[in-house]
Amino acid sequence: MKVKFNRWYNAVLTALLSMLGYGCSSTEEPLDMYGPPVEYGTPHADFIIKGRVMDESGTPVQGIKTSLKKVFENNNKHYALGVDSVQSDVSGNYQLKSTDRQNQYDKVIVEDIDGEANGGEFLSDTLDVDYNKAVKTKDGDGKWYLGIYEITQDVKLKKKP
Amino acid sequence: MKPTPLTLRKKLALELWRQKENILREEHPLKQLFWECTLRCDLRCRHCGSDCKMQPESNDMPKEDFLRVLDSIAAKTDPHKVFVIVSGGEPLMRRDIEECGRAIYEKGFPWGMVTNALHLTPQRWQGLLQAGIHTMAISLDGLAEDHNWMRGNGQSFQMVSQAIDMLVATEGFVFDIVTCVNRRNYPKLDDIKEFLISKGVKRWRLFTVFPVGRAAFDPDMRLTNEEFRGVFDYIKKVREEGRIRADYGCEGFLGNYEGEVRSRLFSCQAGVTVGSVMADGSIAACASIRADYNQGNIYEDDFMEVWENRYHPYRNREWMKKDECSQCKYFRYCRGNGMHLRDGDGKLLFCHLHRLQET
Repeated sequence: MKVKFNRWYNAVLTALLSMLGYGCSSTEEPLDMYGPPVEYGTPHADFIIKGRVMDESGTPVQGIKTSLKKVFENNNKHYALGVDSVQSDVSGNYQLKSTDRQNQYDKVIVEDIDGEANGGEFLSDTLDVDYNKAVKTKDGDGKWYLGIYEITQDVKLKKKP
Repeated sequence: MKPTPLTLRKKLALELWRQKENILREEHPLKQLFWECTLRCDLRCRHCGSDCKMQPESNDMPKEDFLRVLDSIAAKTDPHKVFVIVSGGEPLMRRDIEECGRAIYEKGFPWGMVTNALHLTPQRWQGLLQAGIHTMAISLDGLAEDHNWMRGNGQSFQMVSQAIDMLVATEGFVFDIVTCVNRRNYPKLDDIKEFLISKGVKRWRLFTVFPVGRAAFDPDMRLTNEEFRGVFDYIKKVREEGRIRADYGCEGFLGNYEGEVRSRLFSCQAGVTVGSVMADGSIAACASIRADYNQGNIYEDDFMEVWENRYHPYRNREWMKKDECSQCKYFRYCRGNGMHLRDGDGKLLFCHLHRLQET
C-alpha cells in the first residue's frame, strides 16, 4: 500500500516539476521512481519478438504458448529467467516484449499446452532469438534509450508421433 | 546569474524535488554498484583523488569474491536494474578485466567502466564488447599538451583520441568524456568542446577538483572564485547551444544554477542508490568517500544485509547540519553536499554554494 502511494505521489511530483519548466530535465534522463543514474546511464532498448506459429504444412496454430527467456551461464550451469509469455492467436501470431540490451542467449520456448485441441498435439521447440534480424521501428532519445526494435521469427511445429 | 536568493520557480521545484528524494531515501533501491577492481594505475595524474600506485601493496580482488557479492544482490533484487561500474585504479591494468566483465554480464548485471584509455587498444576494445560492456567514461582534460601535462604521460592524449574514434564507430554504444576543469584548461574549454564535437562525441561531463588526494596540495588545480563561477556559466551556455550535451558532475548544490547545468536537481545518491565494493573488500558508496564511512566488508558481511540495514549516516543526513551548515537556509535542499566532501570528523571540506556566493 505504502509502495503504491509512493509511486502515485512520485508521479504527481514529477508532473508538477514538469509544469514548472523542468520538463526538459526530466526527459533528458528519465525520472523514474528512483531518479536517474548519478554518473552513468544504462543503454536500453525495447525489443518486440513476434512471428507466426504454424504446423508443418504452414497452417496457423492457435493456443501455442510462447515464452521469452533469458539464459545465463555460470560455472557450466544455466539459469533461465522468464521475461514474457503469450499464447498464439487464431492466426497463429505471437508477440513478446523485452526491455533490455540484446542478449545473445535469449530464447523463445514454444509449447503445446492444450493437447489435441487446435490442430492436434505438437512437439515443443526452442528458438534462439536472432538479434541480427532486429529492425528498428522507433528511434531512441539519442541518449541512453536506443528505441524499439522488432524481430520476426516464425516457427513450424512437428506433430507428436 | 546570481546563485542566491533562489527564484520562486526554483524554490518550488526544489521543494518538489525534496519530496521525491524523501521517497527515494526511504526505499533506497540499489541502482549503481562501483567495484574498485584494482588499485594499480598506469598514470600518476595531478588531480587524482585516490592514492593508486603502479605496484600497490595489495593484490587485486579475485573476481570470484566480487561475483559472490553479485549473487547476494541478485537474490534480493533484479540484477538488470543494478548497474555495475568497474573502476580503479585503472581497470585495464587487470589482464582478466574482460573475463570479469563477461562474468558480471552473465549474472544479468549491466556493466560499464571508468578508464583513462591508455591501454584501450582495438584488441582490448573488441574483448570488452564481447564481454558485454554497456558504457564507458573516459577522462580527457585538454588537448594534447594540457592533457598529457595533467596525466603525466606523453602518449595519453593520443590513446584517448584513438579510443574516442573506436567508441564513436561502435553503433549504439553510449559513453561520455569526463573533464576535470583546472586553472590550466579553464581558458581552453571551448577548444576541448570543439575537439569533442568534431570527433562525434555526444556527452561531456565536467567537474571541478575537490580538495582531497594530490589535488589538495596543488595550486594549479584550484580555480579562482571567478573561474569557478565561470564553469557554470560556460556549461549553461553549451547546453543552450545544443551541439553537445554538457553536464556538471554530480556533486554540489548550486543555488539558481540548479536545473541549468545538470539534467537533474542536486542530491547526493551515495548510500541511497549507490553502493561500492572497494579493493580491500570494504562496503561503501561512491569510490571517493573516506574509509571512515565504510559500512562493512564483503569478507565478513553479506552485502545486501549491509545495504538493507546499515548506511544510516548516508540516508539520514541531519548529522551534517553543523558548522557552516547549521544556519544555512539551503540545507533542506542540499542536505550537507556530497558525502565525499566530509572529512573523517564529519566536517565539510567544500561548499559549492558558498564558493559561488563569494563572487
